[in-house]
Amino acid sequence: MIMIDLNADRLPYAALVALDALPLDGTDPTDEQDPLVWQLREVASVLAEAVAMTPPTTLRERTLAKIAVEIGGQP
Amino acid sequence: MVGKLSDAGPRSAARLNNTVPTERGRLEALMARVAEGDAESFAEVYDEVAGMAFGVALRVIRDPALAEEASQEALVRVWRAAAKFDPSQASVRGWVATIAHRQAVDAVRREARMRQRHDRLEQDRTLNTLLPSDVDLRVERAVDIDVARTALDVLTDLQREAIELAYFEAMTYSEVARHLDVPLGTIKTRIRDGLIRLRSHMEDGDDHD
Repeated sequence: MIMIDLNADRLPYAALVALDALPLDGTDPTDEQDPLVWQLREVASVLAEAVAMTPPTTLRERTLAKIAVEIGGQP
Repeated sequence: MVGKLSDAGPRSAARLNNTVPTERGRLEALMARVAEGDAESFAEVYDEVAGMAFGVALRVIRDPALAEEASQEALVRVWRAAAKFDPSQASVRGWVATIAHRQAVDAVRREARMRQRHDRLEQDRTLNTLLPSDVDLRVERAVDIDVARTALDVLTDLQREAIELAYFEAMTYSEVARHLDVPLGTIKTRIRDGLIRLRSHMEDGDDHD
């Protein structure tokens, strides 16, 4: 376990980044290197899990077709 | 106040995602194969995470067609960026959720910018004409959030309201503060305390009401 001071000035900022509540259009969230941000993203991901729902079947077909095209195979 | 955030170890991170360690390991192994260009493994990852990606996109964007488009972009992004996935940094589900959420927020912001440009053009053409607001339409399209609320029952109403505005409405802290007409510091505290409570709930598996 990592011990973190929850009153640290840095935590609200990290939580903000974790929630992506900043105008960061065009940036790649997977480039983030701060472990604390990733830990908070794990916490925030419960929100995503909570709203999971069955996607349209066309989404699977279209996504896999696009992947097939990208690797040079047949969709 | 000193608290504990989970480290990146498989067991604690798996608990954060309500998955057992073997499930986390299986997804990580699949992602490793996806990073090598294995489309069949990607299809398996898709089946595990697409519901989450689509759900969060729909909740943020509210338009089913746009949500489908955004979640497709997010899932293709998962394929393209698979080599950047680091299991010591995040779980597969947390990593995909991050990508899906960002994609959805960006889609909302693109849509807002397009709407602003359109509105300016319309205003130029029809001076003194009141344009209809789309706020009511957005409300009508709002998806049922009951499912989300069950996961967020550990939060107080104030914490949940602030976190939902930041996460699902793509508002900054300042925007949430203005929207709720409360001081910025109060909003920061509510969101921080809410995340801490969520974390504690997930780590302990108990409510902390």
